Amino acid sequence: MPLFTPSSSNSRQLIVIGLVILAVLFFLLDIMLGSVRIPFDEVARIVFLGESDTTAWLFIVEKIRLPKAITAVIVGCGLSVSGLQMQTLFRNPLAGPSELGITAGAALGVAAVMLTGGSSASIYAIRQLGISGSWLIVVMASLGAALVLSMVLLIAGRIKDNVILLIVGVMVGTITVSVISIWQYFSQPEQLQEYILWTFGSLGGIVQYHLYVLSGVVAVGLLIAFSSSKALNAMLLGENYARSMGLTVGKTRLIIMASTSLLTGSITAFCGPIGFVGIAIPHITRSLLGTSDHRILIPCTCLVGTVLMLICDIIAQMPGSQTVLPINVVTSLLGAPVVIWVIVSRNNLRSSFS
Amino acid sequence: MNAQPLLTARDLTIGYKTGKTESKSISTSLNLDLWPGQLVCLLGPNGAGKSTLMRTLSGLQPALSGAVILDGKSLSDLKPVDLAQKLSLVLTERIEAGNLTVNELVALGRTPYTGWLGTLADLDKAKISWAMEATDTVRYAGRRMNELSDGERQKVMLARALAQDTKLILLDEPTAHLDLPNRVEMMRLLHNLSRQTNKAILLSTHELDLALQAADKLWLMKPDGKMITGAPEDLVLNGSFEAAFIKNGFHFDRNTGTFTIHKEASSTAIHLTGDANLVFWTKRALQREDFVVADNRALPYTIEVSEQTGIPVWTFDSNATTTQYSNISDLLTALQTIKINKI
Repeated sequence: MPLFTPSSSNSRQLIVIGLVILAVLFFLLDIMLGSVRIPFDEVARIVFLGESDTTAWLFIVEKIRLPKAITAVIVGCGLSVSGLQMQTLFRNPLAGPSELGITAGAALGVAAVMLTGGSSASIYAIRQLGISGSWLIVVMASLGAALVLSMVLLIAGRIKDNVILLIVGVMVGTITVSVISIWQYFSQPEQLQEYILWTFGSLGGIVQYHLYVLSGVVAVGLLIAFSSSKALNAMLLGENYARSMGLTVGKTRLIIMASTSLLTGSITAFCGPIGFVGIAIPHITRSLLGTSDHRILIPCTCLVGTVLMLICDIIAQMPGSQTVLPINVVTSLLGAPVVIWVIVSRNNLRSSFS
Repeated sequence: MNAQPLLTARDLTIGYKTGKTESKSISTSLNLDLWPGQLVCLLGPNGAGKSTLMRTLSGLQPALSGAVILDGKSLSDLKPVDLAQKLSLVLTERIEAGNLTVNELVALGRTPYTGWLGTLADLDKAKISWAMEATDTVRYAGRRMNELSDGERQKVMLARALAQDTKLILLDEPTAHLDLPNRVEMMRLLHNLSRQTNKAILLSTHELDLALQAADKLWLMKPDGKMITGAPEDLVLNGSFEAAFIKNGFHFDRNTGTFTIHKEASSTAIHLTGDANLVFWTKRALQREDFVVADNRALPYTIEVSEQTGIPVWTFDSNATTTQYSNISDLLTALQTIKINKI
């Protein structure tokens, strides 16, 4: 059985309204909580009206917490939609950006920029570089993601078995990680430190034009994803049926790949390899709404992704303390149990993939 | 009827490309015609190339040579969207979208006609509800695919193909996973559809007896790749039907239109007379026990079945001794002695 009982369109509307309310609530909570506590009504005032009596609060919210919360929303939407697309494209419940090594591919692109460019090209240096630097890293990460994705897709064309495909994905990911390791081995300690810090993942520090670049690229990726939802629906029946319904399967694959690479690549470039969001959230959304229609699923996956990513960020800040956990750790801690649930509960698998 | 066949294949060679230049052809110089309003069954033993032909005719696989003309246009020149408006498919493969409701799945059949987001217009909705009524799937419209039985699933897949509103429907072994009542139901449905809607329906199947009953035309693929076409009755009477499936250990009974698994005529012959219905079943039992039923009164063994006051009685005549039995089981036990004596 799905996680919740399948819902009619009426209760589906209620769920969507509930999700929107939750998203707004957690967005404000995420800004409110942290090492400095700002009252809820003040947060709402700063966010919606842009004014406050305390300039320090205004500064903290506008310069640090608001960009971070927006980044969390972007990451939640982007990664989960790219995971949803991959699960449909591969017709495999265990497909996701990090599981099939796509994130590793993006990391390879990032490593190429960070580790070859000399110490001046470290991630923080790149953040100083301005708009061209951030484009460079986005392009490289997207290319790396596309490289791994096309390799996996090439092999997936020959292999229909879910488990084997997953193993192939993990292996391709391992190869990519090894290449990065070789690169690291011959790198300067300072570069290494920067790179390793990046791998922990972070939603903070993405401000101004970096945020514009990231949100622009992710918006394009999401638009492509939404406009291909009719094709994704046809792909649910498998490639042969999709073709018989007038779909050019090769073209559809390319479009979905482009969208997935853009989403995963850009997010990984700026925020580090964030795991498990991509695989877990589509499953939660499907069982929450009880549908496979991508026209509904894509927007709702964005909503669920937003809510859960904001929750993860709130946990990562450890409210009431000065410490901050790396975001990657939190998403893995929450996401891995979902993956286990997906594998163990075969019924849940069967409802969407049989 | 119509002057033009809907689908024509001329000098068609089907097979697989094994390399850049070389290819393995399965069947050559095929000339086929498919007319509107016809139900055609493609029959043939395993490995004869039925699936390859189906894939080639549906455009999933290129032909090695020759031409396929669909509704006046060459199959290879048709754009995917145009092709999808002329030809729909029902495949053997199980679909893996159990989360879709029946309604949503049938609606997917409208994909070639809807806009970029797949929004259904009134015409689309009308076609969908017609397709579901025609296949009698309205009663599970709101159910999910994973809640349906195989027979129900297959009917839904047919409804999806109908909603696609094409002149030609190809079905690859639509009865493969179904039990006997569902198989009969499916064939009946397809037969009626071809009559009522004037669609051309081509299906590949292993159901020889059902195909003989329901098909307007048979396409028989022989193991060597040769193709024979014709009305089922003609093919039975001229022996082509039997020849396509010839194998040791069974033979085709032209009187009943069924294959029987009895061995060749090396064993004892028995003369059998009586009421038609009783004779039919007695014959089956005798054939299972390796007896040959022959129409020769001079034979030493004779069985006469007759109904006496509503109860069937088997009178067995053997070398002037006459015994009566009240059921086939006892008769067979007695017949064992003939076999032993013969050895």
